[in-house]
Amino acid sequence: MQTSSYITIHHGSGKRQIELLRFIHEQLGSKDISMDNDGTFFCEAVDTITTDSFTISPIFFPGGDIGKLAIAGSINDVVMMGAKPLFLTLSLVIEEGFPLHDLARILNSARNELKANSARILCGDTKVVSRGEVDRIIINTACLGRTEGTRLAVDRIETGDRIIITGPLGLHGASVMAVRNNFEIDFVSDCKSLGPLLEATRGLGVHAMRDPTRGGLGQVLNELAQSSGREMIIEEELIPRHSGVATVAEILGVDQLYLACEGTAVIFCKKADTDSLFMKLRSQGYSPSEIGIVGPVSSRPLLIIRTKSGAERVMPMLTEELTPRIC
Amino acid sequence: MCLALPLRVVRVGESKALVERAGVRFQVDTRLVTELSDGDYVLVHAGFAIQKIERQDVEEIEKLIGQDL
Amino acid sequence: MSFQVMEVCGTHTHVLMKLGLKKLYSGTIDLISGPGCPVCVTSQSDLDVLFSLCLQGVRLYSFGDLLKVPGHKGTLRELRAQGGDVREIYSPLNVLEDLEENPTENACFVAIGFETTAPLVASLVEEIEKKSVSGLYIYSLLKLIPPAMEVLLSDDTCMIDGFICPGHVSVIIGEKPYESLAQRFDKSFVIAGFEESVLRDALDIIVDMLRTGRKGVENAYSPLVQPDGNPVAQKKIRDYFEVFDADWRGLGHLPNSGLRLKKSLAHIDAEQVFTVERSNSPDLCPCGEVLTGRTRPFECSYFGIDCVPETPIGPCMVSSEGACHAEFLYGHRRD
Repeated sequence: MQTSSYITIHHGSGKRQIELLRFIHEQLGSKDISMDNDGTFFCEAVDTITTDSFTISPIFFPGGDIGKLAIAGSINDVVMMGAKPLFLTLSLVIEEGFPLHDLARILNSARNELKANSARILCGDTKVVSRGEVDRIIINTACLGRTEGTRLAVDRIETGDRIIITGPLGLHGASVMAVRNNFEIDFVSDCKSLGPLLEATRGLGVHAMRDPTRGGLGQVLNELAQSSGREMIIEEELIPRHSGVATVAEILGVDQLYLACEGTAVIFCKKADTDSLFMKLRSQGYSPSEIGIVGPVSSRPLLIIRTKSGAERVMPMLTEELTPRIC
Repeated sequence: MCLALPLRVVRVGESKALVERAGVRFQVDTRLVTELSDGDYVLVHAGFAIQKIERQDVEEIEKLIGQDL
Repeated sequence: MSFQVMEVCGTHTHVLMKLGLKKLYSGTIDLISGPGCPVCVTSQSDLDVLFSLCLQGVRLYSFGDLLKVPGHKGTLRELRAQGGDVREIYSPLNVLEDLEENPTENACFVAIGFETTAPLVASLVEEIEKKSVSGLYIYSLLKLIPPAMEVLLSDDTCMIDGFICPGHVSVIIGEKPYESLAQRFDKSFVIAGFEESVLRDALDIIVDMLRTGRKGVENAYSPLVQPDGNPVAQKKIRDYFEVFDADWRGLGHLPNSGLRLKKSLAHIDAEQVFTVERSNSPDLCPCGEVLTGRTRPFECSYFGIDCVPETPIGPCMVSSEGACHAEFLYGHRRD
């Protein structure tokens, strides 16, 4: 297929569809996907599964693209459960008129991300829809994994657990917002897989992990407060300030603690093991910070932030999409 | 009220200027301020420069906003 | 005995509570939130007009804050979910860019804000006239701060001893409007910025003024606020707008408190061009009482129970700078 051409509705079926599928398989370099059978046999023990769909706009952003995101996103969800990511499915819904060149770029990003995790795509699906039925492209991935060591889960969070982040917050959200508003920035999205966290957390009193994607830290800690039934308290002064993220957030009037991260995790760890965890995280290249503590069980479990001046404030759940404000 | 932030002028254009802070750069409309030069500072609100900040006042402004410009 | 000081500006309300300054100064001054939150003071009637325009097929461009305010028929966001063409923009000039990329027959920019934003809207009008853009109209919800302060001060039951004046509005209007209020009503005014040390300075100044009985205006946000403000911006506003008696939610029609397009610009005034429906139903909640400082948020019977950020009843809870919203976030330990 010529890389300067576009996907048309005719690629949705028949001979043109086979051409498109071959193109996709070529870009992905997958040895497992079968062109002949409806499914793929595999024989390995797996105990964790997750799925996610990706519709980001713009599809190419500083630090990545929707292809990288679709793979890293589902891989990270499996890693958050304490499982090693092994296999993925990949479904594409493509709007007619989508440039083949862009599709190649996206698939190559996906391929690189798979390679970095030694994970394989076992099967997939591709649909082409008429113009306007979808905004350029939607990608869905499911990821299968196997727990190594202890299962991580929300019901293991305990009062007194320390809340630790593995790096600066809001890089992804801020970089995407910047692009949408035509700001030039000197930082990029943190979009990446968190596979190394499995090794870093092994054998330590880590109870749960979560990556703060949509809605950022503020949303995720609220969800976990609700699920665990425990108040969460974080200290503003302990959250490292990234000047680029802060500036974009201040200009647009959004709270940077609600900006998405796509390669940073929140870890709940018992106090006794935090030093060892920090050492291991640093050796993996992360810049961890301890930012808070899990509070007591509460009938109304809130997320509280203590500001630099000592005042306490509730950080509510997001009720809607984060929007810029001018007043 | 209303959000407004001081930013440094990188390059003055005809009716716009490229402003910058902490590596973040974008264009603002400059019709509401006069005699702007590269290296000046401006207060920006919703994509417009609304006040020029004299260079000798920058230190004071940094104190006013609690950060380095 | 503590003095009553009103911080007029919504951003000040938010920052004062976030920094715990209201509590810190509570022995000396009682800080009351005022009506300087443009979303909070948008009347239900104006919201009805916006709905009416959108249902007629007019595309609406608005700043994000306004989309969440509940009118009689729901929020503009909900209208968008049901198929209404409602678009958020960050800067008024984005409207022209979007219209060029995505043309439509009729579009309306909803101009909401105070004097800080008014010159920007005037600039958009300037561009529309210069480029002869057709099919783009303006619906002005622009309001003015000093007239609102004047109404509060003119009230016989007014207990306010001093004001913290909005920093960025003052960048545009300068010190003079407050000077005439200070003279007429014999009160103390301090113009303040938004950073912690600056706000503290401003609060210390007003405490000192009140204790020593010193009236007048002190500028704690110079050199950003010049005595004459920004004359270029002021002229831009005068070139395209005239003053009229705007409808403030909870306060009613205040004399000379709003900006509308001059008669010569009727061809781009959405209110003149389109047939619009207005209503006059009363507010569900006592937001007006809160906006004038007569009722505190926690004194409202809906507060914290039926009216919370997730399910707001009135605009003071919708806007992140509304007094009720700020109280909810920062005053939670009160219960």
